[in-house]
Amino acid sequence: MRRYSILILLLLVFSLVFSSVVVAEGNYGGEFTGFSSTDPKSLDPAALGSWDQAVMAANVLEGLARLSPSGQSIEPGIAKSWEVSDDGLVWTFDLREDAYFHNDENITAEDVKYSFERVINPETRSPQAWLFNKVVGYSEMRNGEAAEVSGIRVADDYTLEIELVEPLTPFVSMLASPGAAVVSKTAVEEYGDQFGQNVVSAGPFKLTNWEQNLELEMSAFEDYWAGRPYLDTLKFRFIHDENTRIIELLSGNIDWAWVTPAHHQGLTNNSVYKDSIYRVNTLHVAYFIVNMNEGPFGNNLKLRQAISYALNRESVIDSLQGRANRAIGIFPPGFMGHDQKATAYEYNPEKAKELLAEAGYPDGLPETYTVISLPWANLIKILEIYQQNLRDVGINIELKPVQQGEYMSMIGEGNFDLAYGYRVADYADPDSFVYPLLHSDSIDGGGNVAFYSNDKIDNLIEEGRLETDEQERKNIYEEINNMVQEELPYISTTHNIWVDVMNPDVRNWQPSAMDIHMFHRVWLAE
Amino acid sequence: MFNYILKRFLFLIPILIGLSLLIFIFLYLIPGDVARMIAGPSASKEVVDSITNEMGLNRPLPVQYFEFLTNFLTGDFGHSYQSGKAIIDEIPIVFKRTLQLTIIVQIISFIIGGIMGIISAVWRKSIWDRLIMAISVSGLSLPLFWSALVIQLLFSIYLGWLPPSGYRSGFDLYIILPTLTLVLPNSGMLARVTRSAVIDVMNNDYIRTAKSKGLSNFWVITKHIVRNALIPMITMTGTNLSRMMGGVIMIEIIFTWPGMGKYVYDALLAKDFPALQTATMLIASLVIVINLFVDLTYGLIDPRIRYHN
Repeated sequence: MRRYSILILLLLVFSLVFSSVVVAEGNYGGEFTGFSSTDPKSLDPAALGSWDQAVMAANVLEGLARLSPSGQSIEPGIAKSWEVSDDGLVWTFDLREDAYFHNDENITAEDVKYSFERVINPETRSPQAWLFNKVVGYSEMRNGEAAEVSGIRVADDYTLEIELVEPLTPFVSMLASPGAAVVSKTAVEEYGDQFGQNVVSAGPFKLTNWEQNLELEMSAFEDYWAGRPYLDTLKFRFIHDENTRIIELLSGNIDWAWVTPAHHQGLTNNSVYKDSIYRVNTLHVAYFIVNMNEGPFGNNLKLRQAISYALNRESVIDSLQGRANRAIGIFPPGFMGHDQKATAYEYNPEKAKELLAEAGYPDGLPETYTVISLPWANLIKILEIYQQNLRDVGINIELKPVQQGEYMSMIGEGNFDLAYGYRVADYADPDSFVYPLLHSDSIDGGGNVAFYSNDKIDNLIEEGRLETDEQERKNIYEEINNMVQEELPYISTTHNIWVDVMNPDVRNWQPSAMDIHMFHRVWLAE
Repeated sequence: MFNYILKRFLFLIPILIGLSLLIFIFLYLIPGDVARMIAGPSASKEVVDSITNEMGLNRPLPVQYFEFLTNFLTGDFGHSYQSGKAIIDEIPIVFKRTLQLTIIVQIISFIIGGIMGIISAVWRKSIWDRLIMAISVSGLSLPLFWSALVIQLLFSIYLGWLPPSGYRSGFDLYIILPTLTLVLPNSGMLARVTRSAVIDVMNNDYIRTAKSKGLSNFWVITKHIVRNALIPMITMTGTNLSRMMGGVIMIEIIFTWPGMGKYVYDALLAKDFPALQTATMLIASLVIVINLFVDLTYGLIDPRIRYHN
């Protein structure tokens, strides 16, 4: 009985919240046209590989939990609530009874199990399978020893239990990824190879039209559990050229564009658009990667410190028109783990020279070292500033921009002394930075591209995955961040700020820190 | 004549086989691990290895090449890594769009460039000649990205007449701006070629004969001069055509014209081998066939050219 009263209370609160939201906000209807740089080719959650896909996919797909519009936290999705057993191993998800697929089928725990196993199934070849690698029975299914995952259990139609091999607090953040969305089994079977282009899931919008390499059209899903979106139609046009997007926006053909550096000043002074420019700190960090296995930098902390002191991050931020935050470690400002008190390495060329001398190189490093990076023009401009900074203190580097495929191979094989790279969080939790970048299990293909191994950090990362108390977790991630700043396997530089511009009629827009922008609550003034 | 054409067609076979080998090797040489690109940066080594295995990327190179060649010859172009769709379903859609743009640009350039070239040549050293040549040289030398930008700004923002980018099937307003951008250099080039060809012809004795037998200037130009100047014009158009077939990548990207160029560009970025191989093979084969047709049309235009066995 007590459980019921709590439920009723919750329902009351929810209905109050939602009704007030509906009353306070505006118009239903209208069409919004956004952009994507390329055709996503497939929106099958199991086939998602790149950011471009996720931006569109997140509006069509829905899983047990979903990302908040700000991108910084997790909201209930098809599961209206969940609880974790005391040992942190068994997660019980309580599903909504009024959640439907786009083909009007009611969603049950069986559908969720099917969708997760489909991603794990090695025959699906999904790049998203790693999301479930801590679930009991994952390895057995991957190895072909089992036809289902024993740790994913249907308790009743609307209750799903997931058992993990070890406690993992960020698990629910992972489940909010588009890759963990639920899909309709009947639709998967009906469309076969074409499912990616005809996805049937449970997000606020459903796919209605897709013109190859041209545009993708979604329309409001009337039976979305949280109420239909305000917009009738959401379109994404595939426009690769950044400049063309701005021209399209100015001529009124699209409603949203990423603000290019070249147009930044013009738009912020433009009387029509100056109040429709939005900024958000993204879950992104850029850094020099040090190969900790070999080379002079990996073996010599003083050299790494010298590099960090030599970098004039402020001048780079100026060159970016202020569209970046200075990094002190790996977590962006406003995100758990960010700590202003960590060693900041303020720009100090004299100190860098001293450190070089202490490291045994009073006249600077005799050799020139190659820094590999991606070949983007904007990135190279930044690296040229750092190159000059380093030259000023006696460290000569040569920039070697390579295409993405080659870059990934060279980094993965440890074929470098220094490299420049970045990481964007895969899920909204500090674990998404530290586990891939720093845990020794992530060496060799998991994202620990510095080949850094430190038992103490491994233990802290595991503690962070276990801990459920927010404040305790904050302490853990701050400590990890401090250690990174002391050891410098990654010499962090800046965090990106996303800047976009909207048609001034667009209301309730909030760009996402995860670059996964949600349009459910966006509406249009007259 | 028939034997000659047959021989030329048969000769295409070794050329195409050599071409396929070159394309295969060049694509193979592009650095980077395809399986890793597909799996994404967060995937474990185990996932990457299983993709490598499944796609047969770890087999010896000659085996992979012969499979590619036999598949290509039997019309099995495989599936795109990115979309999972059959390439044979994807390419005709994008190819049609490039073809549409290409043909319109060539027709317009041929007419405008031809007329400009003839006027220049006939009234050589006049103010018109100088003006036309100045225009064609500028059309030729302006970088495409720059003229595209100026054209977009002018017609879409300042005048607000035309959509800056995009595509609708059929002949819609969207085709005007990319066409205009491409007609500039193409007609410029054609005007110059036509001018020198016409001047060449005008110096011939039979033109003097034609004039002295009383033919009007108009007839001399249309019947004698233009016909003889057509060969270099057609060669030029053939070259332009095959160059554009590959998809004018930059123009397709700036104007979001979702054609072959954009397709190849996306495939290249994603290292989508099946799509890249098929698209490049197709473009290269087309260029060869276009050149063959250009060669053969000479005989139709110029009676002095006869193909012997």
